[in-house]
Amino acid sequence: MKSKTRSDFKKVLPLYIFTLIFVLVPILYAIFLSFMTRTNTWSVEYVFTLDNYRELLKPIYLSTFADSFKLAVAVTFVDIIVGYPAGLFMARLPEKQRNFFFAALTFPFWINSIVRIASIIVLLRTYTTILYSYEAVVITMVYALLPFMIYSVYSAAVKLDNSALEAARMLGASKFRAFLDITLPLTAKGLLSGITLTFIPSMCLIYISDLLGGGKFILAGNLIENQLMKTHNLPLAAAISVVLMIFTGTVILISNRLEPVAKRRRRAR
Amino acid sequence: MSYLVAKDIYKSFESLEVLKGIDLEVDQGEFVTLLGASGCGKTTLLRIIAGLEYADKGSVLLDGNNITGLAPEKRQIGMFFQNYALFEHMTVEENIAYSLKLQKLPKDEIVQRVNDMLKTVKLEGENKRMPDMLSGGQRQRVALARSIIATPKVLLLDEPLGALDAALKKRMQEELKDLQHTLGITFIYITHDQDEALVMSDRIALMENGIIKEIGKPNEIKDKIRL
Repeated sequence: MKSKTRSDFKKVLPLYIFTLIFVLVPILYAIFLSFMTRTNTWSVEYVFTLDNYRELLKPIYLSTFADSFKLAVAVTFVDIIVGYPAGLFMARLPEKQRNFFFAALTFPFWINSIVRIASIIVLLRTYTTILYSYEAVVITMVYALLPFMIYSVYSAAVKLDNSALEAARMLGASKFRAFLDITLPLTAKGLLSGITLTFIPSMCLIYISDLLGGGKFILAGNLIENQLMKTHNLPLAAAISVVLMIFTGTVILISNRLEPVAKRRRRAR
Repeated sequence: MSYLVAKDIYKSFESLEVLKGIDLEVDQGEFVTLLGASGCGKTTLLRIIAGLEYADKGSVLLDGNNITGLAPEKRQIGMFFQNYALFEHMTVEENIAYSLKLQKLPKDEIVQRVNDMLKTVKLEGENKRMPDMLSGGQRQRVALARSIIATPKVLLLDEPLGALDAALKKRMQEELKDLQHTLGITFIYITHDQDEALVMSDRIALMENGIIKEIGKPNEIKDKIRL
């Protein structure tokens, strides 16, 4: 038993080393940096300080975080409204048509995302008046992140047993009731992972807010970019990253918790 | 007039004609078996009676009412699915209580009836278990309990014993037959197993290529089955 776990450990050891070097070390370094002092010569002095976090409590940063959060909520909301039914629909298609829709969803990823965004700019400029507005940013982010929502919902919905839905109907449930009692709880996990996959990136897709918002809308991601590229304040950039990481971690934690809670509640009833 | 009538039923899927003029009459409390090879249209006929498919032509009458276009949930017909179709996210108790909850019965009545039903199908004390923790035989009993607790006018059973081994099958055949007697529910039963059909049925409808070729009591039809 012991030797088996040891050989198992050996097999995954490279993975641990990889994770350590490329994931854990940078994160720890960012956390470390966020407590350091910035010097006048645009470099970092290794003196402990809480000034970077104090700086983030200023209204300009707080309001940016709040705006970014609101935008992410809006984008996620629209993606749920559009992507949840789309994922369910796709899962119910016969295999041939399903493959077609899959290809249609995947195809845009063959094209560089900046090119795709540029073509949206052309579209919006030609056919609408909303370019460089909040709506334009939301629409483009919804478009960019929608496939993730659809995939997540689809992968849960495709495992759904259609006869369970039929059984509910035979036992007296209307179509809608059967959806609420069977489809929704059994696809909740996919929906939650879809929410995670759209909510978190939409706080940081800065090229979209830059290109389609005309520089009027600043996301949490923009703050980091500004500190890195413009003011060269590495410790402050690190502090913003840490706050974002905590935020992201919280969202993931909540969505992980939500599913078993929903299940347990059903059991207790 | 008979209790359940399927009259002149036609059904095609794309260019494939599955049912070609089915006439079937079933009396109240009767146990009728649709016997035939796979692809003969017996499951489609069952699904049309259930309301899960609609016939291209023909009508279905139950207890004097025309239910041809009625949604499945309004027919008071129960169905036992071949794969049991249990609600995997609900406990045994919740599975069985589902139809009673939809009828908005008082809570204590639901609890009482579910517990009685669990006793009937010999699953006492399994109330809080999840379906994926049950054995195949137990899952089958849950499905059965769930479909008969609402006392449907007719229960449709699609190869209910298909997945069982021979010994268990024999026992379940007897239990099902007893249960049908005690409850007095009309059964329409699908199987491709001739012996099973002969042992259990009041009447057997022999299906072939989308029509009912012969229909009659087991002893009348016995020789026609074994061609």
